[in-house]
Amino acid sequence: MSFTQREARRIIRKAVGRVPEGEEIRHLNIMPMMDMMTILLVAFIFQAATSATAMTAGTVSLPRSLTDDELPEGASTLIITKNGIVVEGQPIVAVSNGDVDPAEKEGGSLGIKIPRLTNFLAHLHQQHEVMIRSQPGYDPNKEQPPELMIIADRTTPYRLLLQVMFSAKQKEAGYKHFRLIVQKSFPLKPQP
Amino acid sequence: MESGELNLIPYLDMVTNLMLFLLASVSAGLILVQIDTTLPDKAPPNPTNITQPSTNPDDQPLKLFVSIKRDEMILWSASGLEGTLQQPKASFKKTGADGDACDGPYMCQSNVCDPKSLRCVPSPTEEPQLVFDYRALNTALIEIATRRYAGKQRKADTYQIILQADGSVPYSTIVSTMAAMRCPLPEKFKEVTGCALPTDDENLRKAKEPISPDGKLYDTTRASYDPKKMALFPEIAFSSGFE
Repeated sequence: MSFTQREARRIIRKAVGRVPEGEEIRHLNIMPMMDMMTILLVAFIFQAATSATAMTAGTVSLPRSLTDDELPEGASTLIITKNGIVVEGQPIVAVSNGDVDPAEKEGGSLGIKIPRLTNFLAHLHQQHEVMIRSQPGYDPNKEQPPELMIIADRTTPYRLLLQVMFSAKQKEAGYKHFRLIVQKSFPLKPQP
Repeated sequence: MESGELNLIPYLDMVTNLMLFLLASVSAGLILVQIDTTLPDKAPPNPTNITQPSTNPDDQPLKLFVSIKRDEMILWSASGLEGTLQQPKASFKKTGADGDACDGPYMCQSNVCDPKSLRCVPSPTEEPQLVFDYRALNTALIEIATRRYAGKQRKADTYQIILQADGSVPYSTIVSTMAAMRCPLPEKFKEVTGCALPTDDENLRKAKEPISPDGKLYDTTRASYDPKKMALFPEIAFSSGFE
């Protein structure tokens, strides 16, 4: 099917004539886009501020490991940096040369319990329990024991790791299960 | 009076730049995974405890230990079934010095493995850390699991292993050792695939198949143990020593 130039112009004029006259579009309505971008921006900033990614980029150098288990949901996060121990974003005690100040430990330099950490975790545990019990469909028989995600710098000494776990395991804090967070290691391939 | 309009262009520029930056930082290829562990209430009271003669050795816990010292790592058992503290089942020397062969940064003391030469190279920023032959440890544990449990129903309490380390041993050494204790490591230059973990989940126990559809969990009471696909010693407990 072919048109002459005159026929084509006539068809276009007719089609344009069918379109109702409205307001002239002077500018694009960018409000919905701005709303969406603002929400996304806030979400990303919040995530960057609270996630392990920021800590890794900043003060914690995570070790790499050949493991493949996904991260747990709903576990509390404890971060051991070279300078301190941070729980859910709250700095708890300072760390210097891979150890906590003896004044912060029960029993001094040979002690392994860090009371301030235990107390904070006990408070966190209580809050977590209140939140769990207030959820609809709460079943006490299916209640899972609280878990603690430990994100530690690769240079953190085993002694400090044990002190943290021992403090968290105290009866008042009640954390018995720990998940050590590592960075997934991707194998290198030999190059031809 | 002329109706004024807010100039949103600078704001949009800023938001768009921030969005791109945050998106890039979120998807920078950093994938986090986890290794679970517990801190035991007490260490086994008597490390020289001998096995109960009335029980089949394969049905009782081996009480395996991996002890990490500053210069070597040893594999032994408190039950005496797989070596003892005096005569360990296996010992592993330090590796990962600059120039040693590697297939990933975890194998290098410097945490840097040159992708071209596949050799450990010095790092300008990272402090050297303790590295052992994790693959040799993994091989030794696979051998134990295969010899004792392959093709049988492996009892739930045989999955435990205790990790004890010198106080100064770094976290990177601990997690690499734990990875070697939990699952068969992938072959060199192959992707990590993980392994199926034992579970006492009631839903799986009632299911027709003893292995979950995604292959990540298995019912220890019904599944036949396959050391190539299933966990080796995933219940890792930390210990600081003996009482």
